[in-house]
Amino acid sequence: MADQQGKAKILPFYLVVDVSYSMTQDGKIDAANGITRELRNALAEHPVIADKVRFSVIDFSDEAQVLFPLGDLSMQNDDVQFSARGGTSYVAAFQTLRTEIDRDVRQLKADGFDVHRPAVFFISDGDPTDPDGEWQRAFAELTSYDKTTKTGFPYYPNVIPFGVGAALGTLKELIFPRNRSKCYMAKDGANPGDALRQMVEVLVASTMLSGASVGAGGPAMLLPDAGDLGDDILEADYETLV
Amino acid sequence: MSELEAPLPGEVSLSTIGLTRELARGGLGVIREVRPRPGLGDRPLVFKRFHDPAAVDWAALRALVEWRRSLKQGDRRRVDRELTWPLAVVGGETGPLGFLMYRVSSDFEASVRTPSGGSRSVVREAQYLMVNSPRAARLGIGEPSDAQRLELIWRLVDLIAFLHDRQIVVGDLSTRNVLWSELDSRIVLVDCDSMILGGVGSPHPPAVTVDWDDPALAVPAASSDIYKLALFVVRTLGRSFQIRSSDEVIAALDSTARTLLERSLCSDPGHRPPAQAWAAWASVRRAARSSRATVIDAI
Repeated sequence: MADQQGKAKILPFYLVVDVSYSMTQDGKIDAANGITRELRNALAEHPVIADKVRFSVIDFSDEAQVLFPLGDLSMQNDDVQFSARGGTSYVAAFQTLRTEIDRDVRQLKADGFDVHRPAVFFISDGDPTDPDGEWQRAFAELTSYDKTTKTGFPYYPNVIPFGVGAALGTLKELIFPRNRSKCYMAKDGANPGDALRQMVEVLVASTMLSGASVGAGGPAMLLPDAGDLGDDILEADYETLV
Repeated sequence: MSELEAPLPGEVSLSTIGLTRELARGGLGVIREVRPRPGLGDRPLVFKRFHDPAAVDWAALRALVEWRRSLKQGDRRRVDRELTWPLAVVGGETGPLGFLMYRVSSDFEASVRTPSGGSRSVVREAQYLMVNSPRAARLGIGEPSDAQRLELIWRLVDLIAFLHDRQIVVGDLSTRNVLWSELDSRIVLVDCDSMILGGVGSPHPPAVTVDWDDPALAVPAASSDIYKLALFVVRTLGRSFQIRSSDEVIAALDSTARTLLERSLCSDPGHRPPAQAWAAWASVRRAARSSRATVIDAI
């Protein structure tokens, strides 16, 4: 009898995009609309990675909606398009994320997959319009888990925030885990649309690096080297952001 | 001449070769085209320059170069046809930097369709052999028949047996390191500078591609090559990237191959068959197919 070594591995990604009205300025929404095209092209060319990577696409303003449920983006015929509306509720985004991740991971496990910790690419161009304290609570409910008492959210994701106009203090609080993830932001004076396009390159590179390494024993989420970033963006980790 | 001319030593100065465009970039180094010139033969060469030359075991790399140069003509031709073997070490002012190898022929390239409607030229890695039918259709890449897949398997089996007979372990046999041609079902192994020469070792620390690990052996050995060869067989026939069991492909195989697969995938490396056992199976099956073809021709 041949060995039955392991289950098929899956690395779920959640692309969460702020579509508040301010995203219509400076070409930001156009840049966001190029994200799934770039991802689909990169994944299609590397089927061995596409085999392990699943994407869900969520947008949010006053409420959040799932534009593309978790699936194989490389096999889709159309790009996911975003259109602007309303304000910027991080609470809506985090609550929807938690609901989606919980359901998706349970389903994948039931289907027999070895599910790696999800990663969230969170793109926002402004501070939350939620009352202060509420979005932090929703973020904690998304990311907190106590292994000893088994309380909290066991499928908590890694979060990589991308900010084009969001306050640094807010962006910093979205880095998770604080010792391994990073955030990306536009440089002062950079065109936000150009900066977001360069952040898309980071997002695609992270997807491909992570997809190629999942199952190798190390962390499933990998980010590109700082030297490979475009000219209009900066990276920072939790400790270096004041 | 299809090989480096005799006067060319196993060591070449970077200042004597002209480099053109970058062809590929990997974890260990960058591959660039070498401009043809007298003295370098008439087969296109490429230069692999390591990102970190200090991390390379140059004695082991020179041993690989010398091993090829020591071969009789027939074996050397086979190496040059089926392996991207290091031909000569390239040195600069600061010491050795990389090596020359033959460029892989365009027979091992393919054009794939991108979802946005364009097309991209890609090297025909084994990953394009293991895609399922819907993905192959989207890529617009030809899907080999089961008979063609078996021919590719037989060729790889023969090549592994050839290397093991000569005390060479492949090490990282995986999706990325096996190339295949569509028209005539040929195989080429790349990243040969990571192979392990018996009694010498490898120029690089062992690397294992994700999903191509041998659960029984952390250090590459001939028996881990056999395990990975069996993964290649089940994944090529099963059109899957992650399966490790023979269950899904048993119907496509004869009883000898089933036994070889089960023994090759077992967790006890000492129980795995030698590459020659796989090569003997390939030889018998190829002969059987040939004789059937002859009968049909006669009718």
